[in-house]
Order: sequence, then C-alpha cells, then structure tokens
Amino acid sequence: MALDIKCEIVENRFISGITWLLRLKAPEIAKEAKPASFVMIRGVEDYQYDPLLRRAFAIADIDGDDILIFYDVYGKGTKAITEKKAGETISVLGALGNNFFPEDYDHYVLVGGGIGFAGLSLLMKDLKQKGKSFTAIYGVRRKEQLSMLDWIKENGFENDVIIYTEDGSYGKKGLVTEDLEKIATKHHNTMLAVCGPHGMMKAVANLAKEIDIPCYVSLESRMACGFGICIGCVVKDTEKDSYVRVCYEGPVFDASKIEL
Amino acid sequence: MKTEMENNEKKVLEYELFGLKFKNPVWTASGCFSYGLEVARLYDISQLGCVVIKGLSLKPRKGNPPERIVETPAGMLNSIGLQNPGVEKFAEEILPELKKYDTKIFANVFGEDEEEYLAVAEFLDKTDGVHGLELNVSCPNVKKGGIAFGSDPETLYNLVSKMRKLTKKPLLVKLSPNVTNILDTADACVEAGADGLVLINTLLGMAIDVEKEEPILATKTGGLSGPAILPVAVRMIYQVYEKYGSEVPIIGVGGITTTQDALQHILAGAVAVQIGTANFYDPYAPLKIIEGLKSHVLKKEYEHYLRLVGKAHKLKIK
Ligand SMILES: Cc1cc2nc3c(=O)[nH]c(=O)nc-3n(C[C@H](O)[C@H](O)[C@H](O)COP(=O)(O)OP(=O)(O)OC[C@H]3O[C@@H](n4cnc5c(N)ncnc54)[C@H](O)[C@@H]3O)c2cc1C
Ligand SMILES: Cc1cc2nc3c(=O)[nH]c(=O)nc-3n(C[C@H](O)[C@H](O)[C@H](O)COP(=O)(O)O)c2cc1C
Ligand code: FES
Repeated sequence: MALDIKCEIVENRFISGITWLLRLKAPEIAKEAKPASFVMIRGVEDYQYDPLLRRAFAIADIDGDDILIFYDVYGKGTKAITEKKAGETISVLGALGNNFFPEDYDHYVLVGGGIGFAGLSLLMKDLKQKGKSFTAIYGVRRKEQLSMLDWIKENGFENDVIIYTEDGSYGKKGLVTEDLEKIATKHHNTMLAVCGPHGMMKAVANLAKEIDIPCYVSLESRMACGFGICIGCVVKDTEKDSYVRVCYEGPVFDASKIEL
Repeated sequence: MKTEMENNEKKVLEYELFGLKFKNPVWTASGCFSYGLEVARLYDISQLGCVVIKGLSLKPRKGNPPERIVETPAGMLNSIGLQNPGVEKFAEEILPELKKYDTKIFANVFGEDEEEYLAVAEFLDKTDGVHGLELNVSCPNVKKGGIAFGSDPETLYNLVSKMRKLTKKPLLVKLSPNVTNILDTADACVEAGADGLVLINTLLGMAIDVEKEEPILATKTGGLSGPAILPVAVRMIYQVYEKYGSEVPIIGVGGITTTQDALQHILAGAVAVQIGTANFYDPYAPLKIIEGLKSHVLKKEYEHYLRLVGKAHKLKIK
C-alpha cells in the first residue's frame, strides 16, 4: 500500500555534475520498498501550482528508516527540490511500482547508465545481502557524472562495479556495451538488469536479444500520478499489442515484450 | 448530545439527487481516477460521494501513443485517447470489485459514432452497480469529419434524445468548453431530456518542445486541465445556472484542488463537484475537500451545504 507522507528531510546536498542527494526519513516507505521501487515527490508547498506535478525518483538505497534519492537537476520540479533544507518536510508518495526484477537467476549483470545507476543500486545491495552472484556496470560520459561513486565506495561495492567513461576520464574508456557480451556470457543462467538513458537501454536490449540472454529494463516515462490513475505513462506491450502503465504494470519489464 | 451533533455534522453534506442518495457532493472526475481500484489501495473510496469511472466505449480502445501527458503552467495537457478495456470487460472484470465499495458509481460513456454511444448506454442501463451515466461528448464524431459531438447543438440534441429513450438511469451530459457559447450546447441537452449537466471537460491546448522544435504530445494537441482552468469552469457554471437556476442540476468540474475552489463551483451553481487532476498531485484532495466543506458549512452556520448552491447569484434558492 502506497502512502502520501510529509517526510522530514535529513540531508539534501549537491554531489557532482548536476546530481543531488536527498535523504528522507520515511520509515513506512523504507519498510515497503523493493529494488526498482520509486517515489513521487512534490518539492513545492501545497498551495503552489507551478510546477504542478510530482516528479518520479528511484529509491537508490535504504538506510534504517531513511531512503536515499540521487536526482539530476533539469527543470522546475527538480530545481524546487534543491531549495528544500534539512529539517523541512517534503511531500512523498510511495513506495510505488508493482513489478520488479525476477529473483530466480544464478547470475545478474546490472547495467546502469548515468543517473540510471540509482535505479539499480538497491538491487545490487539486495543481491549482495542474499549472497547472489552479480557483476555491475556503471557508465557515464565524463568523470563528474559518476555521482554515485562515493556511495559505491562507502558501501563496499568498489570491487563489484566496473566503471566506464566515454572520454576515459575515469575507469575504462568506452560505452557500457563495450565488453558486455563477454561479461554476460561468462556465467550460466544469467539475466541483465538495465536502467539508464533510452538509447543505452535499447542498445543493451538488442545485444541481449542477439546473445539470447533475458533482459529486464527499469523504465522511465512522463508521469502525472505514479500510481496508475491517469494512464499517461504508457509503453507498448508488443505481446498483447496494448499500452501498459510504466508506473503500475512496471517499472520493470521484460525488454523482449515491450517497444523500447 | 455529542452523537446528535455528530449526526447533524454528517447530514450537512448528504443530499438526494436523481432519486439517489449521495453521502456528500464530492465526486471524482472521469479519467482522473481510473476505475477506482488503484486509489482503493490508498484510502477507502467509500468515503466519496460518487466515483465517475474512466470513459467506456463498446470495443476496447488502445489509446494514443506516448507522449500522452505534459505539464504546463499550473496545469497539464493530456491526450490519453480514451484507452479502455471496453464496456463488457469492464462489467465482467472490474465492476464486481468496484461494486463492493459503498459509494455511487457513474459511468463515463463515449463512442466514435452515434451507434456506439447508444450501444454503450444500452449495455450500462442493464448493468447492475452502475448508478448513472455521464455522456462524454468531447470526442470527435468520425462520421461527421471529426467534429466533436459536443460542439454542434443539433448533433448533441439527436444523440441525447436517443439516449434518453434508452435508459431510465440518471443521464448527465458532460459539456465541452471548446465552444463559442456554452448555452447553445447546454440548451440542446436540456431540451433533449438530460437530467443534469457536467461542466467542464478539458480545454484544447498545445505545448512545444523548443529543443526538438516540435509539439510534445504525439497527437500534437491535448486537453488542458488543472488549477489553470478553474476560472473558466466557474464562469461557465455561473452562465448555465443563471439561465436554469436549480431546475437543471449542474455538476462542477475543472481546476479544483482545495475546499475554496470547490466552494467557488458551488457558489456559482454546482450542486456537486468532481475532482480531476488534483488526484494526481494530491491523492487525498477529495477527502480533504469533504472535510473542508463540512467545516465551512458549520462555521458559516448553514443547516445544509445546499444553501450555498448558486448563492453567488444572490438569488433566493428554494
Ligand atoms: C520510475 C522513474 C524513476 C526515476 N528515477 C530517477 C532517479 O532516481 N534520479 C533522477 O535523477 N531521475 C529519475 N527519473 C527521472 C526524473 O523523474 C526526471 O528527470 C524529472 O521528472 C525531471 O523533472 P524536472 O522538473 O527536472 O524537469 P522538467 O523539464 O520541468 O519536467 C517536465 C515534465 O516532464 C517530466 N520529465 C522530464 N524528464 C523526464 C524523464 N527523464 N523521465 C520521466 N519524466 C520526465 C517531468 O516529470 C515533468 O512532468 C525517474 C523517472 C521515472 C519515471
Ligand atoms: C488524464 C486525463 C484523462 C481524462 N479522461 C477523461 C475521460 O475519459 N472522459 C471524460 O469525460 N473526461 C476525461 N477527462 C477530463 C476530466 O474528467 C475533467 O473534466 C478535466 O480534467 C477538468 O477537471 P480538472 O481540472 O479537475 O482535472 C480527463 C482528464 C485528464 C487529466
Ligand atoms: S503516471 Fe499516471 S498512470 Fe502511470
């Protein structure tokens, strides 16, 4: 059951590039969240109507009663959130999403592009806690965009994540697909979990199809409500030839069954 | 003593309309509440006066491709394209679950042509658990070159009178604001025997992506809703009430987020209000408005909220 709660802001600070970190005291949401769960946040006061709609963000981590969100700042919705200070409250609807990553594979290859890595970090933590075998890939254009690097180090995932930068300013030089075929075919019963920019997800899904490995994507789309009532956030289900809601039938989908 | 007061408090919002007893005048608007079950996971929807479900056609409809929504200043545009499972599947798979809630259910009806409209209405007339029909006439009439049913009084008159003959259930017509004079279409519906009018549907709009240099919505244009349209809705309700007074019940919809907004609709002449877009950014808005209306009526020492309906006209209400 999702809830609309005024959450206390524990921390809200700039990290690097265009990314900020928001830490919220949200015990009810923390208890319910699963990897790929998301929240809808409204950064303005109830009586302010511009920006009007909430913005969607993945729950990147759970730390006791707190949830962590890594957010890129583009337009007025995310700018409004940056203006909120620790100690103030903010309106949060969550935990949202009804379909998550399958749990019955022996090996997981996580592929996160840019801020999309925040859509996989909780899965990574979950896999580690369950003692499951996985490889994580984190790709960005330039070093400054590695906004989750400190989180990766602080949480002891340094040796689990392979980092790519397009310009070679950190880690390996190239795209996340660079060595993906080799990585993904190394273990038996492997699946890919992908979150990131549209083009990247498409490239990974195409590769997965070629090498015949199951690929699950955690999608983004424009959302007005985030809990299934506007039917605005749809993606095409190619099996059923119908539009399904990313927020309600997703956010995780089998890439071979939707139109990316 | 206390229970008596509590009883009175409860009663200030209860009313009877079209032979139905409503708990309160706060309804949810079509397309902004799906079929109710998603919200039932957030709160008990039995608290609502009425749920108007997402528009139903005879055959299932896929809806429009994305992008379907875009935020605009104090509002949003949508072009969902009336995606729905079709009336039969709704009745078989969704209604049995929805019926369990102790609220009124009105079905929003539409079609691509007159035959489809009538077929949906005929089906719903026989469907237990659907208390009334709300006719959505903002759709393009395929047989008439795509001109919306709701913008031509003659087409509207024909449609509503035929539908009137098909059903004894309360028949409301939801008017489109995209007309020169709202009274022309309102008159046509009243003459054709509609039980009430719902004002207003969305206003036609467009938003352009300045980087890509093209319209954002896949269908280019979409319907504007949200706080931005509140004054348009209030004005149109006022106009229709000015002509018909309490003779023709008006259900107000458009731009309501708060109790104050709902009161504007009511004072202009709405006997009930529907909450639409606000459900998206403030899911508990309908509940807050129910409480807010109750407190307002008690604070102002009215014995019933109906005293407020149309009061901005300074007319004496029966
Ligand atoms: C399930 C889900 C999880 C997400 N997780 C994260 C996350 O963890 N971190 C993060 O930085 N971003 C995430 N996003 C993307 C984030 O929601 C958008 O970047 C954000 O809404 C942009 O808002 P704005 O005010 O900056 O931009 P504006 O340009 O003001 O936004 C205008 C409208 O477009 C929508 N919009 C614009 N870009 C996007 C986008 N990429 N995806 C969806 N809607 C968009 C907005 O929600 C808003 O309704 C996620 C999106 C979804 C759907
Ligand atoms: C996403 C969305 C879908 C809608 N779908 C329907 C619909 O199926 N039938 C209908 O009559 N009106 C539909 N409407 C219009 C609303 O019911 C309402 O008339 C309008 O949004 C104005 O009210 P608001 O400002 O409170 O949202 C829709 C509106 C939105 C935003
Ligand atoms: S965002 Fe409204 S249905 Fe998904």
